Amino acid sequence: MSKSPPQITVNPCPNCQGHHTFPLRIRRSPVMSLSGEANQPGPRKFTLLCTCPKTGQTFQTELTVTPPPSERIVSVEPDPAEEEDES
Amino acid sequence: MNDPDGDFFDGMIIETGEATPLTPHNQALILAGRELISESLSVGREFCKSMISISTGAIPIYLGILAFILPESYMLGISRGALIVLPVLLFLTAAAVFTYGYFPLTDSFSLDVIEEIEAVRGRVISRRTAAARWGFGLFLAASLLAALMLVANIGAR
Repeated sequence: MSKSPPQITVNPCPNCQGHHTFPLRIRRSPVMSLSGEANQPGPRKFTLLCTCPKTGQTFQTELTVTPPPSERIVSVEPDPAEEEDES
Repeated sequence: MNDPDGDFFDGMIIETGEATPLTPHNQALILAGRELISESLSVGREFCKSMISISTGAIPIYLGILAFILPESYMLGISRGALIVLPVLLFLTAAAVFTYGYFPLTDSFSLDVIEEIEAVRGRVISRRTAAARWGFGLFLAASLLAALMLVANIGAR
């Protein structure tokens, strides 16, 4: 299990056919079950808009995030402060 | 492409799908989102502005209809007079609350710091929303009371 910041790799990019890595900013929140039963939130699907660092055009990619036990995913967005281009 | 079972990050599993150009539907949604954000400030402002005129304009209409249905030499007792004046006071209070919502907000922020712009935008929207809700509640109460007063006094002439 990696402790590195979450990121996605887009390969190939639909705009430039290159290879980009986008660090993600994921907001999570703890979940408590009042009934005593395990009420584990399931995976959440997001459509993420990313901007190709070469062409500046926006494209979309789908990702599914499965939270750790007793947590839920609140939001996922690309972290523009840490964008990398590996193409 | 990532491996089909996804990548592990701090207890989370992230599975990435195929990257595609923006679909026309999502392009339209982005445009709608942009409009929602850019209009979010002006909608509340315009609502408060319109409601100031409507609330103050309701007072002469109410008093005019009341003067029309009440006899000229009609003497109001204290309690009945207070009841008849109450909608006017509520309309005035509603107009004051809408004016508070319309009043320019003094704040300072840097255009270079997105979080500051979002915080100011949030403060403006929450203030206008609160003013619009309270003002509209007062306006509804005033309208209902005014209608009740008019119905109760029909036939007094």
